[in-house]
Amino acid sequence: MLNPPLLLDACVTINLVAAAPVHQIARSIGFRCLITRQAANEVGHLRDTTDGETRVTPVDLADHVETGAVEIIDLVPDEIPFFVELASLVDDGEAATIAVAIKRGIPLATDDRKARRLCAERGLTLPTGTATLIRRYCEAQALDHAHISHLLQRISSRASFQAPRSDPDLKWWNDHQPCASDGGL
Amino acid sequence: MPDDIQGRAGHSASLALRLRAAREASGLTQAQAAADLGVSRPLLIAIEKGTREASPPELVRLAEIYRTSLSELLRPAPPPVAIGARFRAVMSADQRDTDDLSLAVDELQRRADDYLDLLRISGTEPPGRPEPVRAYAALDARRAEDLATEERNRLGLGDGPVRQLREVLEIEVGLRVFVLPLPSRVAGLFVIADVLGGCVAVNSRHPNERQRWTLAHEYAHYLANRDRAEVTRLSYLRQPESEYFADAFAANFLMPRSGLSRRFHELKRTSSDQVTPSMLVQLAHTYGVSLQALSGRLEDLGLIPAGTWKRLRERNFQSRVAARMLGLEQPGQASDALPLHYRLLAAQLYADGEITETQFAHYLHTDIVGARRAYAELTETADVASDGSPEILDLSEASG
Repeated sequence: MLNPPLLLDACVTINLVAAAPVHQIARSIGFRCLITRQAANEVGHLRDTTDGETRVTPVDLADHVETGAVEIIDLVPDEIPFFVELASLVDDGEAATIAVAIKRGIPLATDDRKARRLCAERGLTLPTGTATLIRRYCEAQALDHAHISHLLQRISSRASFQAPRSDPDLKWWNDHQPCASDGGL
Repeated sequence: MPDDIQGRAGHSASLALRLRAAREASGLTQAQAAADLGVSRPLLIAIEKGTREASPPELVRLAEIYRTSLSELLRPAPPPVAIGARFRAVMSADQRDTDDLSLAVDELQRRADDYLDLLRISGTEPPGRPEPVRAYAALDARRAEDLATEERNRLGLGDGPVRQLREVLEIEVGLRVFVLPLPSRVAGLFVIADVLGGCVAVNSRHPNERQRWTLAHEYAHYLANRDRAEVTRLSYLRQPESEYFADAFAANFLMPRSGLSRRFHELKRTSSDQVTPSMLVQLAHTYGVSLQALSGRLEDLGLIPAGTWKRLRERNFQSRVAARMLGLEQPGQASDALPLHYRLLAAQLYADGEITETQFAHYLHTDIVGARRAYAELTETADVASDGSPEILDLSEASG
């Protein structure tokens, strides 16, 4: 049986790609990750640092589509007017993501403050965020503190992401931040 | 007319203008765009005139055809097309201009459009105290020096070097400074735009000293002849009066007579009354100008013999090598492509949840991770947190 779908926006997508193989995360937490074509176009690049030099690493979602971890979806005609309405308020990626989430009733993952506010205004169930997804992945994998810290460090250094202050899993996120005394894995 | 109807009519007119501007920017004719959209040319013309509203599927398709985002097409204010029109009036007079200059002008217009959109969302105005234009019967060196002195006094700059030139011009004067890749023979662009006022583009490919000179040069255009768009070139067959005036202003503003003379004599005293190349390099570094600009200024002031720069050049004197040997660090490049106020405004709107992260990235002309890094840089303070890392000022918290 297929896992239930979870719609990711571009910002959550890049955080997950930075953390670990997306198919592993998706399988562990029992979701199929869907991304609208508009959001996929906005994912951009990671930053990887080697010997003090930072380089830009393109994210090729086609690789993740091939593994079956991610499915890129197109809007259907019925969703277009709503997408256009939302695109006057947010970027195309968030507009398409929210339009699909509302029209198809699919749960949504976004950390974006404006997108979350818009969802609340439109009566959409409170979206989940990066910290919650990563926490569920870590719990499913029974990762220890050192491995969790390493994972969060990857998200921080490669995607420059920190959990927002309002995140329900902020304490968990902060409790697993790497300390200076932590050794490498 | 009720406000909402008036608002809808305004949005509809803006959309029509934006659709036309997007088509022109993509280089498509009306016939080509109509064919791609699958409608007749008269229908596309009607959409661009605002007499026929585009349907949602047509809007989505047009954004794809024009390779732009839908959200940009839907901005409620019209695009600042007057910027391009003003430059075209200047450029058509010179057949040597090529497509790359037109592309640079289009880029400046896009940045101005983004700035206007940020101001619209925030409901604020850009910084600066706009000065009335000076009406001079003739633009000569004497007036350039008087104007430079007057402006230095107005801005409280004394007669010393202006290290934070870009910040002064952006915040105090109210120029909007963009650092963009321009054709190599073009130093800068200047144009007046509604709401924004004086907009300047400086060539990102030029050295920092040249960029500072260009900034001061364009500042002169803003003060003395702002009604005309200006393309500042590195060389002219015959330099127009306005360009000569702007260069004279730049020399006087960056290197005021009294301060430069005093520093020159102080340095000369410490060099046994000799004028050495290293002394000139040091002075050029102090004022943030090129050795050529400094030598020219000292020659004009009669402080060094005429032809000094020419002799240095004939002897293949390498000012950058000399500066390195003297341990003089290159001044930081004014490399931020966008005005400081623009970047801070975008960061504040993002922190307040008024724009999305992807919109923030779009305004900064970077990707999502680039925007996150820029946000951290813009909000990092000089303070150190308890774990030794730089303290981040939470803009959303600061704004309550």
